[in-house]
Amino acid sequence: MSQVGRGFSEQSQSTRLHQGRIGSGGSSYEASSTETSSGPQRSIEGWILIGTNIHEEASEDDIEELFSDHGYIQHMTVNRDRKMGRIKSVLVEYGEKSEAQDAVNNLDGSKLLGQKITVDWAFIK
Amino acid sequence: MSGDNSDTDGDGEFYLRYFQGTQSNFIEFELTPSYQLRYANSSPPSQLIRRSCTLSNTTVSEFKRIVRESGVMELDDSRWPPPSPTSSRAELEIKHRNVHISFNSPFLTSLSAIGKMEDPEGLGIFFDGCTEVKGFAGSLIRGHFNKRPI
Repeated sequence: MSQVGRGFSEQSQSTRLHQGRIGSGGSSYEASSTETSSGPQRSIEGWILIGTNIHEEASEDDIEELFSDHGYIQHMTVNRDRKMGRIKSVLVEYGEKSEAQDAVNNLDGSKLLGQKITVDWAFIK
Repeated sequence: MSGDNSDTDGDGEFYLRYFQGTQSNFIEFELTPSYQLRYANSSPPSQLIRRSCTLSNTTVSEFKRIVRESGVMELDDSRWPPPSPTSSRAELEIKHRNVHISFNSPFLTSLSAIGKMEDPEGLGIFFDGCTEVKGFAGSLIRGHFNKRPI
């Protein structure tokens, strides 16, 4: 493992000022679940899926059309790259777990503009 | 696609931490090797807000893609201005594919401020990468924890 950066230098006064704050407070975080078993985790307003490996020319409408075949989309967030403004990933929220499961089953590995997309649960237990 | 926490990308342990602000007024994201995404936000006089959730393999892979394509793993902060203890700073620490970076800089918000520095190209890549990491992590935390107004 090669290390690069001033953050490793003990002499630097700027070293890891806040490390203890976030690193040690595990139990005091508002956790989404206390269960340890795997499987999808519901978010506050519904079930959120992530879609990645999206064709660079795909539009928001293309993606909405694809996901709306499997249920009512309560909310969608599009993440774009800063340089080109292309859609890199989407977060799609359904109200029902069955809708989200149906979308994962049918859309993961399916093609959008000829390119295979990945669709999965965004959060797990 | 399933939600087990195995290293499906086959490129070893991944760790990411981003900090922005001062000791009393900051946001921080951390993604642990066990796929816990932790978020802390302190803006006085309100209390410290902490959130944590577990991400799927696919979500973690997207963090890795953002990191790889941003170019931050190829940077070096040795020529950047040192952050001062009292003003806002940015810290980015990432462990990915046998490289471990831990960079810091004063938090620079404008291209003109970056342009006056010794390594404007590197600082530009650094802050673009920070913005993308922060944007993606923020969209996950908001989507998972925040109620939308009716």
